[in-house]
Amino acid sequence: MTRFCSKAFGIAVVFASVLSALGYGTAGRQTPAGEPFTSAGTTPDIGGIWEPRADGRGRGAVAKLTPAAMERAQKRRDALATGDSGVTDVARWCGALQFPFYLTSSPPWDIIVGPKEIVVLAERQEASRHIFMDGRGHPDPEHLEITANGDSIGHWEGDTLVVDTVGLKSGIDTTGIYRGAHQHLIERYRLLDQNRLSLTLTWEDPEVYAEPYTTQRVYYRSDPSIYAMEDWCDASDESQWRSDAAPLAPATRVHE
Amino acid sequence: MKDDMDTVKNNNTSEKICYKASRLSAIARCFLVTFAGLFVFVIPTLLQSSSQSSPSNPVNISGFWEVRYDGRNIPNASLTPAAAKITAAEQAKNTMHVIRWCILSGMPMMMDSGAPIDIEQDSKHIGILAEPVSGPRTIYLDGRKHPDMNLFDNTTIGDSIGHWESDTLVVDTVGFSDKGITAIPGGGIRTPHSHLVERYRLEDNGAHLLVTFTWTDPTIFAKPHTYALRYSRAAPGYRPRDYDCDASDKERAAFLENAPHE
Repeated sequence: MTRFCSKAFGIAVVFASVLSALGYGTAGRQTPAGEPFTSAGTTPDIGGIWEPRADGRGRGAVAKLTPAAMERAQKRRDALATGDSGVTDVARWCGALQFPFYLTSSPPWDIIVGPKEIVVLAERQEASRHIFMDGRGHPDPEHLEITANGDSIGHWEGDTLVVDTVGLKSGIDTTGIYRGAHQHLIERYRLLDQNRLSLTLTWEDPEVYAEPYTTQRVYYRSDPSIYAMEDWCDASDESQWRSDAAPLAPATRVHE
Repeated sequence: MKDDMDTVKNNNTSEKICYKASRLSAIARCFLVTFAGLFVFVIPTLLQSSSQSSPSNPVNISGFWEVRYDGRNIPNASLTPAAAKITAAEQAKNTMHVIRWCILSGMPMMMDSGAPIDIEQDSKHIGILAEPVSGPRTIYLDGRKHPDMNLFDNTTIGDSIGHWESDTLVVDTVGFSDKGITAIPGGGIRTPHSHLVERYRLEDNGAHLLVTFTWTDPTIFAKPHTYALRYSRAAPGYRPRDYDCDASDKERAAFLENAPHE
């Protein structure tokens, strides 16, 4: 009986080995690189191309601005009402579009889940991001490089991907909104179903928000035939900044 | 005697019952152990398979990769007479214009720009990100074909589809534009007629990534032009730098546009 039992157990193990050899269940399988194929394991498969739609935008409380931020916003409204072209320096000079611009822009964006890192590919110039999933922390403040996309680290909390971002550049972003020097963003991504991805974004910026600002969005998985395009921007081509109907006023140079 | 016989009979019956009970118990234990084996080895295997690779996507080339000083094998290209007339000075002028104005550089510059590239791969596609000014490449592994090139807006990185031939990733790219940095290592330039086939293969147990590039373009190359880059894995914990290119920076512009002087 024991022998029969051993045989049955052995058959189960051999069955599992055959399945493994056929490529099923590779979470722990070693590849020629010596690393598991992907860290996704049993975590939700959020990889793929996602797009915003009209019914997925901007759910959440109204942001409570600081008095200084309200004053800046009013000045901008006044400027736009009195002939300011509204073209920001970032847009005029094809600068890097600061995170989280692509989340609010209309083109789709693409999540790729690698073994130790998640990358987000965006069609907008220099908007692609690295989200490190290897357990590293942010650099200490002395070595933290201030950039358009900041420094992002992530981890899974159950079925939710939590991404923490610091080190974002201060100044007027491409939408004309001022961003402070001590921004801290927390993104929480969760699949509602295979075709809908929920994002809750909490934004701390003591120069702009009187209290942390949280907004919710929903993105839809794009059709499988969708492919990435290129957002072309050529700062040397002045014609792209003019319109025959209403010529734009020249933007203010950053380094006048 | 009858009692004795009955006793023996009863004992035999009892033994049979005990034996049967023992056998049933053993079978139950056996099934328990077998199902435990199935649970431990097979079920997780099947559960994990949904979000993992398949035999058609067998190798993981994810990571930061850099070309070191001994990582280039670039022969001179055999150019068509028309392409041979494109002077190095003209190419250098175009390259400088792209750098000066922070224009997307594209292929093949982004694959060897002086900083590591980041390759990340899942079961559906591969992304390649460069640090200096370039859009990211996406290599689709889902079996799709190239889009209709009559409808495709050509780009500096083109449209890339890939498949595995054993342990080698073969990437086919068309749909290039003539914008960005068009110079091709070894000679010639990228044009809308360019067709690129890349072959990626890990070496030394994943320490190196060998990539061969073969360009064909009847307007530029007299015969297919092949060169190879051998990438080394970047140091663990590598952090890419965010290249902030500012076309409005007058000092930067003066440095790039004016002839150097003592």
